[in-house]
Amino acid sequence: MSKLWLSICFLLVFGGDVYAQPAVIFDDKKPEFVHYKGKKFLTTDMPLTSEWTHRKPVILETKILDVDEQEVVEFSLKGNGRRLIFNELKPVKNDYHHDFDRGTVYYTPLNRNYSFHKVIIPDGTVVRNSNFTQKNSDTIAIEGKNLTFIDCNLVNNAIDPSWILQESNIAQIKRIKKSEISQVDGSIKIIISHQVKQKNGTYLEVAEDEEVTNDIDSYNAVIGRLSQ
Amino acid sequence: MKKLLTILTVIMLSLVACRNSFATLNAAIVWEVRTTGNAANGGGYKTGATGTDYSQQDAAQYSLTGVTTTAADAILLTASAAAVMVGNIANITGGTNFLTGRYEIISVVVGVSVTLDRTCTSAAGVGGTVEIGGATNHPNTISAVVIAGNTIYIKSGTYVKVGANAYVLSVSVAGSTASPITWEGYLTTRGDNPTGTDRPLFDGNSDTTNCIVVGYDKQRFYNIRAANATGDAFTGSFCSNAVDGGRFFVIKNSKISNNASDGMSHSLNTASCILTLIDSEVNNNSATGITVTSNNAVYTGYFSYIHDNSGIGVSSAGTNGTSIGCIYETNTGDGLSGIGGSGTGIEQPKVFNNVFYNNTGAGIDGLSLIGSGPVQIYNNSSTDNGAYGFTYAATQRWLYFDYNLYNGNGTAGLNNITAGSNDSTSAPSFNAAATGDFTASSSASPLVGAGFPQSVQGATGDYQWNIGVDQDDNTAGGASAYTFVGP
Repeated sequence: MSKLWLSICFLLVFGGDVYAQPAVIFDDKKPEFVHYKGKKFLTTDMPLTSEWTHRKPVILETKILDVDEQEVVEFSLKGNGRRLIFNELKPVKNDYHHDFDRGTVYYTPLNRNYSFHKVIIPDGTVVRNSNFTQKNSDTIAIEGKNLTFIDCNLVNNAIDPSWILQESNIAQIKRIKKSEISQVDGSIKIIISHQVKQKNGTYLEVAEDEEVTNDIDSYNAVIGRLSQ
Repeated sequence: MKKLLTILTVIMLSLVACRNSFATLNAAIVWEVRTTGNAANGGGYKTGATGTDYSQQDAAQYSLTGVTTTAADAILLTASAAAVMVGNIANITGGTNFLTGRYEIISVVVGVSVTLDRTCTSAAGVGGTVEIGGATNHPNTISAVVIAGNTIYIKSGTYVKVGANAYVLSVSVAGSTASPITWEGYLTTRGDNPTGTDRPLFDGNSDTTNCIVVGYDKQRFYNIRAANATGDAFTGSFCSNAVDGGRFFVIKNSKISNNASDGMSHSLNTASCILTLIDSEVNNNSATGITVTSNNAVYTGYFSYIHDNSGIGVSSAGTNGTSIGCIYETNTGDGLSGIGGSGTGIEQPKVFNNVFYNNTGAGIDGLSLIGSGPVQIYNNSSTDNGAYGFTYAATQRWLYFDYNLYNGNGTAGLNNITAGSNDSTSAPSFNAAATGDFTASSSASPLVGAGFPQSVQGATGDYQWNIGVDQDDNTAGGASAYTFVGP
């Protein structure tokens, strides 16, 4: 049995392209544990969707990870039959929850998509052509002072007054279900109020959108994208 | 005798005017938009007219006042009338009984009168003010005036919404199959096909719901950027209000980025519509890069780069479609989802020489096909995606799948797909994927020379194809990369 697990881990280690997976080993007697560099880490299965789970290490979510913890958490996000975050991202904390709350990572110019992540950016960094979209408005997702954003998407991010913004989108939006209509072909048309935050802090409906469930978008997928 | 001649002249001019009462602007008119123009300027000139094109300048060439007409007709009486005016657009901005708007100057009696393409007064006009020549300053100024066949040249610069509009541009006139409407950006000279930030920017400026609203058929957008809307960059039922068959919408050499919702959102459910994306970039949008919810619409993507969107790269519910030479990477949803074949087999979507890379999340795939009909999938690379490199919703039926590469995907390379006998499961060895360079790093890359075909039956010569987008004949990565030259 141990050989089987080792074989699986070997395949995982050498089967990848960019992400070089660490030699994390599952405990064949107590499968809730993994071993890395002689340390034992407790894990727990966290449901993500009806089909997918995330085997998440049990490490305090607010803790800044040490090097070994970071390797194990990164393995859980990229190497355990899942690729839940992008190749170049390194976790800061063990706070991944789901696709719209992807946890805290370090900034790197090798990655341009930080959607639904919290990110730590060194003070004074100039960030270009990157996406920091958040699901809900006024999310405090970016940590860093005196940052310059050029040609970036900062939708639904709380904006720090020390930042310099050039050709970037800083809109705060909400998308809320207004109603739904069952259609003759079996699909459901979901009517969505598209609202934008005004200068006085209130939200104004600027458009009414429709989303139709189909073979790509299930009802739950459409609803899951809406604001909470 | 003199009075008689005057009366006859007026009668003749009135007859000419009557002949043109129901005319419209001409399909050969070319419009000019530049930030340094003026909304009151004429803004256009008919290609091939006998006059002088005064539209390609900031100021109007003629600012007429005191213009009159003798009745409800198309003849402006002005001593400033000059032969060089013919073909220019005259913008009537005011005057008693004048019908304000843009008219084409079709003929001139020098020093006497200017004849327009249609009636411009409701009765005898007095005190008319008319601008002839000069560019307009915003595309929305003329969006309801253009007609099928017109080209609107838009000079590089930033265009934001006008007044309280919830959009930068609202397209409200349909083209036809033979005469689509073309919105084309340029930098310094018409036709110079700028790239990067040299292209004109339709800027939602964080307070405009959509950049471009399209509710009319057969539009072509070339060389533009659409960004920073609080909604979509492009939205609407793109192929509505068609005047003939063959509905289509084209975007070429353009960039759609940083919008708070989809890059493009097309929700038409009632009519076939082909959305074509050529040589363009769709990135950093807060939802899907391109979404097509209609079962009747067709996505066709060629040599385009769809990346870093906060959702699916391209989602197309239609039962047909094409993707050739595109890169779908680092989206938080599937790279390309949909375009399944129809059960009848009449429609056969084609997915050739694409790259699907690093699209991540729970159950997120590189290429996710719907439907149950035949799909042709050759020469694609799909690596490092959340779940599967290639997945098919149903057990495959008539799936033509071979010469593809899959590696490093979270769950497996394939789902509901039988591996092709010429597939590769090696890492692709891109030159620098993290910085957007998906060329083969060297001749040793498993991409190189691994595509279909390697020979053409009955012909001689080297017909080597690579997997993926880069078709460089195995020299060093990044060198002399293949460049698409569009129509």
